[in-house]
Amino acid sequence: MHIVTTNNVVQTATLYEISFPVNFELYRHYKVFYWNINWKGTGSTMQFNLRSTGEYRRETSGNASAGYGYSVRYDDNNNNSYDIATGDAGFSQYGASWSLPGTGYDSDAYVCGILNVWGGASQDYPYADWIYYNDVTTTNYNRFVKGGGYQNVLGQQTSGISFAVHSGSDGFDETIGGKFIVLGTPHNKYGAKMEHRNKNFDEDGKQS
Amino acid sequence: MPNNVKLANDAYILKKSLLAQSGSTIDFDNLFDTTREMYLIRLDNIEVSTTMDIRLQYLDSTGTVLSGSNYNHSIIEHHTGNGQSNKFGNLVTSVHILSSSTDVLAGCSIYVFNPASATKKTKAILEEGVGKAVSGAYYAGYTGGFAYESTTALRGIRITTSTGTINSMNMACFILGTEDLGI
Repeated sequence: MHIVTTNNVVQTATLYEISFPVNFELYRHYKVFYWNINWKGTGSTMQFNLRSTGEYRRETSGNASAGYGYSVRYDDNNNNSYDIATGDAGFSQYGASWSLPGTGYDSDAYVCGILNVWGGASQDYPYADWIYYNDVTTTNYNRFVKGGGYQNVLGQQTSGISFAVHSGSDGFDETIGGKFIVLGTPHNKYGAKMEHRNKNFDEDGKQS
Repeated sequence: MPNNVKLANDAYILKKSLLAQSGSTIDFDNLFDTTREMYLIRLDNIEVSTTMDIRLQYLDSTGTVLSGSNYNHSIIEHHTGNGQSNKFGNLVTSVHILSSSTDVLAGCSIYVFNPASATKKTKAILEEGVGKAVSGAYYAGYTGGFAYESTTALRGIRITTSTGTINSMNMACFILGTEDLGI
């Protein structure tokens, strides 16, 4: 896999969404590692979304009319129940996501995980899976989450992948930042990487 | 081609690998340092002497094992026979990463975040693992997450067993080729 881009979020203003440009005509599979992500609102949820446009840091437009379906399972570290969550069978706009309580202002708490996305090119149905591990409260209560989902719309080309805080009064906790490494499996040998260079970043993800 | 244009760079760089390690405790030291925040550890070809749980602990910045009650883990074991089991622990002394037995070879891939940090807790994702369940003798897959609930700087791992010994196992530690981003 190639390193497509990286991002280390340092933001002073309130930030609700972090997005990355992707091109599924060049890379057929994106694998996103993310960590050091925290959000302030204790009732907020974090979501993964596919975007019709993509840019670094934030943007406001999305696939508002698209339908998603997903299912999720999670396991906590303090009980032996199976903790299966059915997920959203109703194809809501925010279906490619799952909710976790925010960990507030605990400075050493963060979520880490891996998101895989395939099939976002034209004439595709995009699909994704994700795993992450997070503090649920600050009292040593952790949760592992594993989910999968797809977008039930053919040919709505995906140009961005985003991480968003939803239903909250405040966004990401910018004091801890947010680290992202985006890998891609190229569709064509070597050429894809160079063509996919973002104007603000070189091929190592270094800001130029 | 201009000199300043590089060809596509591959993602993973091998930092350290060891083959055919054995024992009831096996240390892999000097894997982590402050130049990286994310590591991939691959354990493979794990051959065991008896049916056992395989567990993980960390080594601190002096190479000393951390055996206090600071480990949280949530590992899902899903196995043949249409069954599943949670391998969970709340402030326990080690992480249950796999189970295995004499007739299979076990292995797993683990991503470790912030191990060398003295200000953030170390967390890890067991992306995929395979082995054999202790109860029921089912072939099993493993996935989950775990944390060391202290901001201790770490530099290595120890693999231990619930009983018996590991006859042989390979370890490889990878970093990502992002050199200059503080990542």
